[in-house]
Amino acid sequence: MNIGIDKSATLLEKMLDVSSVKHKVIANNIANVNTPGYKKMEVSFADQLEKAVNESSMNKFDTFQPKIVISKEDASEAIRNDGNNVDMDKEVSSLVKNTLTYSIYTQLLAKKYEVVKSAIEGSRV
Amino acid sequence: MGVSPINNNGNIPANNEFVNSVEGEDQKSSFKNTLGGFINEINDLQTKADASIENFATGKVENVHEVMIAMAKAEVSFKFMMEARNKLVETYKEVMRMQM
Amino acid sequence: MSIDNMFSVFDISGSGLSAERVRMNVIANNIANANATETPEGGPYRREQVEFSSLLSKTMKNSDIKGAERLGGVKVQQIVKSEEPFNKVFIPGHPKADAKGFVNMPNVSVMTEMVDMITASRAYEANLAVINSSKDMNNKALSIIGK
Repeated sequence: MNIGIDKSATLLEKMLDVSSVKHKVIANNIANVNTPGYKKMEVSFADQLEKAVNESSMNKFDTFQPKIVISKEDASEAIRNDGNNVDMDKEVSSLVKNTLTYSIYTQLLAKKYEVVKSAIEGSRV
Repeated sequence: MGVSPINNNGNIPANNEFVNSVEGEDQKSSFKNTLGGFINEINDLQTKADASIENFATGKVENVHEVMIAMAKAEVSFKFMMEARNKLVETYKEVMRMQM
Repeated sequence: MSIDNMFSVFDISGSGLSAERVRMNVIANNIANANATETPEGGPYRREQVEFSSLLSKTMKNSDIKGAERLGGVKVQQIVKSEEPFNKVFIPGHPKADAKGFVNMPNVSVMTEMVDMITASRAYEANLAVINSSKDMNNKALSIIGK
């Protein structure tokens, strides 16, 4: 049953998924900050998201699949003696940002459902 | 203390839109058009809120509060419309009762 | 789309906490034995180091997100003895002194150990921060249901 939840609600659900995966990737980067030869990983989703958002129908989100990849940016610059390129400070700040973003998405989604609920419950007459 | 007479010619602030709509459908500010205008505005706010969510997700908007304010506007206007609708139906029922 | 275990982020950070704790223990052992000229295996104490290695995740092998199996956290591969040469210290009256009066002292530099300790401690705290933030996120998700 399609209860009339629209494209942005689906988008918010997908963004929550992305955020959740991102958190695990950051956790793995931090856990491996002292592992020799370990290269930092990240979630790649921005291009797919851009494409999916510009499609008018919400079914296009089904093909939206973020990927976990080894980060390409400054992969060669910041390598330490043991071959590890995880920057602890960057990872921790990504962590904080991701937590905030996740809570923003949950609140937006909650608001959306609240509006739909009020339409259903509002007909008291 | 003067009690103003009932048929005071003065200022009963009649809602012109309602008064006019009684007189004829083709008045520019008829009740139907007003209500339709409200609904369009509210729909517009919803669309704007959705667009701001998309912009935030794709990173085009930096400020969270823009998104939050757009959502709040959409929600409040929607609930306002629901209340207005409820009041209208109530009034209609009241009027129907009166005619008995 | 799902990463199968919804609490797997705690596993990842938990592995980080365990690994750093092992490192702290090794560092503590090094510092405690910094002056031990005699060990059960014979000879002065040799500095020990941990070797970390990142893990592949067993639970996420079937996830439809590409690359998810790389998120397995970390583990201590082994604890190795350092091959660096012993410190030769001139103590003529020492029972272990050789002909010229030099004693082989453990190849532990307390300075190096302190730096490692700070690194391990910071990494431990960072893993804790991940766990706390994940807890927060899970709580926030409950708000979708609303009041």
